[in-house]
Amino acid sequence: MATFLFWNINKKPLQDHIVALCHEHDVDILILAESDLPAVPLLQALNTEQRSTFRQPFNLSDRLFFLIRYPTDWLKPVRDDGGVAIRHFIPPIGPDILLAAVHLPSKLYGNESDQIFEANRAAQMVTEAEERVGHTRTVIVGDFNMNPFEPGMVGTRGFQAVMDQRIARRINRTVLGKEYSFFYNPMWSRLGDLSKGPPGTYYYNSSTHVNFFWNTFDQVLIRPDLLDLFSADRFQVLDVAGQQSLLSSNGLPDSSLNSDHLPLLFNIEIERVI
Amino acid sequence: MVTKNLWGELPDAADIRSPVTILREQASLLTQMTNGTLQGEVYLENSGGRFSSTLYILAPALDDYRYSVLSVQYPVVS
Repeated sequence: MATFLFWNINKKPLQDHIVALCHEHDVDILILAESDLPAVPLLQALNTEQRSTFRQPFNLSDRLFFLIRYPTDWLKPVRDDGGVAIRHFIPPIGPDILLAAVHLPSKLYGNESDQIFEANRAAQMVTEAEERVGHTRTVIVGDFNMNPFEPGMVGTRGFQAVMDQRIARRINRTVLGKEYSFFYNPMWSRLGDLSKGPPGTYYYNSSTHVNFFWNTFDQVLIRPDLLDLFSADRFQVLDVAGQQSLLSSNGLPDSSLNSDHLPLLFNIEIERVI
Repeated sequence: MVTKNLWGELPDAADIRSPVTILREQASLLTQMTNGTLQGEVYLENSGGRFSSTLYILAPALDDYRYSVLSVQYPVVS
């Protein structure tokens, strides 16, 4: 089983929290966005008194940071383009997987049209990578800076990420004569206070007429070809790191001490097909 | 009968260097300078009247790994 942790740490010095999360949840692949943490001290802390060690694979992305608890040649770089980093995860046993990490542009620096354009670009990069590796066993994780219901996430030229696995398993649909492939988006099931875990991954109280308060910008999307290996039971939006809550006393991300985003944890059960 | 020019005065196209042209020149230079060890590539995309030209470095020795150097986005100027 490969365990993934993604966190936008908002340039905060959260090494201790990251180490606690990785040790507690037996993380194999760590992906960070907005990280200024130097790699060596983080690696030393992660690998202290541990049976298996984290390594830093080849990475030219200046927006996304990877550490893996595998030999570095198991994670080959495919493409780095701004806030999109695509890697080919090739374990010696079990299926290879395409892993895309994203940190898409914020609403602070663009409008909805800009975000749709960038989502379309990112989705196209993933499609091209899938054509190169010859399969669609793809997972995308990151800070999309969009909620699951926004046009860039659900549009055909974007990620077409749906809330129902049965729909995603149809593989694609045709609109105006062109086929578009689905992603499954489990984040739909994490919206609101009656869902499992916190109501979202990012809280922002704006003064505009439309204010969601809780947003779910940090998301993981899975292609139908990988759905059987995705463990829905183990998928979590985390609000605790070790003994430390990541939320303040009012239940919101404690951005004064921690990140303004909450981390995502998920598993891909690669060994299930062995 | 002489056809009337309804286009008006157009600039000489030879004087116009679009962003994609500039990027393609640099892509070609990179390939030449490194004897193909690194290759320059330019992708042009357009969506909803907005164009994006991206200059990539392609590394054949790394299984065609692509690294984006820069991306220029611009609308159709009316």
